[in-house]
Amino acid sequence: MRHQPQFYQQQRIPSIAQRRWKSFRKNKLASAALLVFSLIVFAAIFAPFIAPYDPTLQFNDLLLPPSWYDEGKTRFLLGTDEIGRDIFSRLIYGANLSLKLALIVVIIAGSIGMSLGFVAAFSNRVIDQLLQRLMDLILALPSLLLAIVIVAIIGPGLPNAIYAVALVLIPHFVLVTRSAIINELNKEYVTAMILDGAGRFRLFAKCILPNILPPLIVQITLGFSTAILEIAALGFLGLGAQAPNPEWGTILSESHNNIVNAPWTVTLPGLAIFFTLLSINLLGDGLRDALDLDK
Amino acid sequence: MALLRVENLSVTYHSNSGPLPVIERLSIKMDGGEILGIVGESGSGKSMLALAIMGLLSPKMTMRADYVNLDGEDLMKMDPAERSVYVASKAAIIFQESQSSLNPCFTIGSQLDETLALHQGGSRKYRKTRALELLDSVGILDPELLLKLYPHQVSGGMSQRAAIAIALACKPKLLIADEPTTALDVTIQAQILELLVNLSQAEEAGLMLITHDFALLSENTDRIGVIYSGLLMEHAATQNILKAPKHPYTKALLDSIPQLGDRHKKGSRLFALEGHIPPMSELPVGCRLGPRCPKAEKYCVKEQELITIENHGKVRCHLAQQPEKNDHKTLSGAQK
Amino acid sequence: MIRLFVRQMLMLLTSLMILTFITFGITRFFPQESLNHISSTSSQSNLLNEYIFYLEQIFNGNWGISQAHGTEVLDEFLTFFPATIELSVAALLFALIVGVPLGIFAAQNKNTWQDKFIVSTTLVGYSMPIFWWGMLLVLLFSLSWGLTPVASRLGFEYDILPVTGFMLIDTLLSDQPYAFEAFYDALHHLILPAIVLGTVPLAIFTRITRSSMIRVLRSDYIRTAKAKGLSQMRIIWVHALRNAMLPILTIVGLQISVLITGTLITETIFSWPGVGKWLLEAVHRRDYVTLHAGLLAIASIVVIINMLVEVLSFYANPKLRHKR
Repeated sequence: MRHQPQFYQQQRIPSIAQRRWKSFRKNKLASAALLVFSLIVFAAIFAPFIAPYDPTLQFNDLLLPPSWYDEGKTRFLLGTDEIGRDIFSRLIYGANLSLKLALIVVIIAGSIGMSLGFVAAFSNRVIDQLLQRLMDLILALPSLLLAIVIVAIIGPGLPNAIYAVALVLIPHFVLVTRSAIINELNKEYVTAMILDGAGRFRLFAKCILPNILPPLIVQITLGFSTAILEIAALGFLGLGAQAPNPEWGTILSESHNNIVNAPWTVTLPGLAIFFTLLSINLLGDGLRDALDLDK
Repeated sequence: MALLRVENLSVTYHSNSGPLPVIERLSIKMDGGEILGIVGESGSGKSMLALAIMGLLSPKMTMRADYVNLDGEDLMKMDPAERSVYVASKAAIIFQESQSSLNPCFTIGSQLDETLALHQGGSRKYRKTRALELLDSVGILDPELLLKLYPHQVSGGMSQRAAIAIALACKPKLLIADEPTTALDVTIQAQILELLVNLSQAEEAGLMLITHDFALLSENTDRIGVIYSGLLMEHAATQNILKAPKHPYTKALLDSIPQLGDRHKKGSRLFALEGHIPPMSELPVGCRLGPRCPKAEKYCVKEQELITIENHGKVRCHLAQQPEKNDHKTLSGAQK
Repeated sequence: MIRLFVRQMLMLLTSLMILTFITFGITRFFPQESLNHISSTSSQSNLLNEYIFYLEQIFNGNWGISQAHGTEVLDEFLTFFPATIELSVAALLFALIVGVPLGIFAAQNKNTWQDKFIVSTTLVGYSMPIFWWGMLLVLLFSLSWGLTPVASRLGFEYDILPVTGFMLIDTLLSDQPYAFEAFYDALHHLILPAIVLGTVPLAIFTRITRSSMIRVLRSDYIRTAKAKGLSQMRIIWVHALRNAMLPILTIVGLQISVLITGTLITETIFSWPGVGKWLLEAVHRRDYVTLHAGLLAIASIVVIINMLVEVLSFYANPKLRHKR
């Protein structure tokens, strides 16, 4: 057979993942957020190597301002708190703690919430409606109030705060999963696949799962930022992590009294929370656009 | 005096990758009481012509023209606010989707009254009578009831009638109907079309009927303009175009209309033009129709100008000047 | 309309029912002695009897005696609640009055630098941990610049008789010679907490208004309104806003519970004598009676407000109103 000359330029069609990545990269704000968030995660994972001191180690220099002030010392980059602990080390360990806790919360809430959402989507009307009402109700309850009552029952402290925040997050996962699945089940290609004789498992794995993944990914990102915020809020109110723990919210509530004479003890931990939340939210926005959820 | 004179109208779409031509140097003229048909495929720019005249182009589009003269005033010389008030008092437009072109949050009555109050004024009671008259004139059986209904509560034909009533409320000298019947059932299409023609005749208003469907225009219009890819391809009296279309594109459009009864030849196939309308970003060199034209030849890679044909009208094709039977080979040399 | 009302009432009743299940369930985890007033004492009680007894007590207003103050807990709630409402309503108004016009402005100037600036600012506001934001604003406005008071609802120099519990109203009702002064002082005290509490809703309202408005401005009926020759003002504020408000209304309903969550924190920062502060003190004292009452009362109120908003959005949307 004669060799066919190549008439057309070879064009590689990018995969869906490649296209989404490309569209995500186009969003400069989201890309920057990804970078910042990666840095925070890096700092959190390698906290023991990055932080110069132990987060609970007390020095004789109390309420030292950050090193760029005249009174500051270079060995305490961000200064010290009221009992002489290095703020920089505490914040780095705080990142470790906050991200770890948020991850646990999202794993608990996500796995329970998605399973419930799955059950609701595939079960009969009565169970679905009951579950729906219950979730609507929990959503209507002020999240922090619910967490406070739960903490009041099982007592303050980190593990209990995690359960409380996880419980508050579950309804979001249930509703998103349920509506995503039902949305997908109503589409015609699913009908076509059922007519082709696809079994339940195949239907779910090949057809529904890939299509409900985008909203779930966005929900996980959102849940992650909510978890960090709520855990910090509980810590701030004295109901979450307890005193020596370098949790960001707890650090803030400790420094509340020093707001006048040592404002940096308030601004710095707040900035840490703020930038973490901002980068995650920007990331979530970018993902939402890249995964084309609005259209 | 002419009701509408548009000279060298160009509309440009400013896309992210640069400006694209939507309409190029288009000139038309309409007299009062005249019915002008504008026909073209979707994407040809025919709706943009309507929006440009009405001043409704989206912010991403700009228009230029030597003049757009509507009832004695040049729109191009007015500032936007002044222009929109003037145009609204002289001209009205009816869109394809009547349901969505009415505000879902207000009753039909209040939307009708709003236009009446703006353009005719008068007491509330007077406006109510006018509203009832208008609804009556567009053939609505129970106008009192319709005034109280919301757009989503009435059928498509009914809401198109309401939209026409609202359009007529400003007593327009020019009525533009952009695909007014495309979204309707076939039986209602004829009714609405008849209504539009009768009303414009009764009010001695000019009617610009924009459609992709040649069949709609054949019986109702005085003149027809054929638009392809933003260019006016042929512009002539309706009977001339129907009897002897000069432009290959017009011919193709006419040949693609199914024939019924005696005119239908058994076993014949409906004509279909190959390919599709070129995207604005990939316009062909020379004649826009070139790549699809059944009669395309070497000369067609040159830019085509509108040429006036005696006893016919204007045609944008060099073949039009030659008698139909002439061999194409002899044409190319003789042309220039 | 009546059918809709009945349906909504039934939905509300089910919600309140489930709510009492939850609170009843929660009380079973409380230490026994703290809840003598609402748990049935008879020895052969089963779960159902206990629940019915619980409901009876709740409906009779017998919500128990608070451990800290020794007063009826329901009365206590009612004395603290107006302060919380005052703060929440002020915050909500602030968020709506600033957020909606801002969103409209951004939508009208889509993709310009002003729009981009507004959108990025809303993201910042959305990510703001309000306990830090509150402290920051106190540090700047109160401590550094001395523009606003640091805490509480009213200066100590004023003595105002609580009539309604709403400070802004009470100061005006007061017959003291300094009534107007006190009113301004109360307003002065309200500004900063309301801004802090309203920040997150403000960001959300701005975003929702913007996206809703962009969608509406693209619609055919706005094109029709322009063709009619209506003024730009009338197109935006009557034709477009009326439609754009529909999704905003739903979001406002959802924000109520977010707002209450925020008051818990804001009241702590500003020593605002409202329900949030009252509840937090109860947690630290392990005052279960107060906690139970607070949860039940606030949750019921939120559920009822949500239902009202839903009815309102039904009424505001002709498409839903006329659907059978």
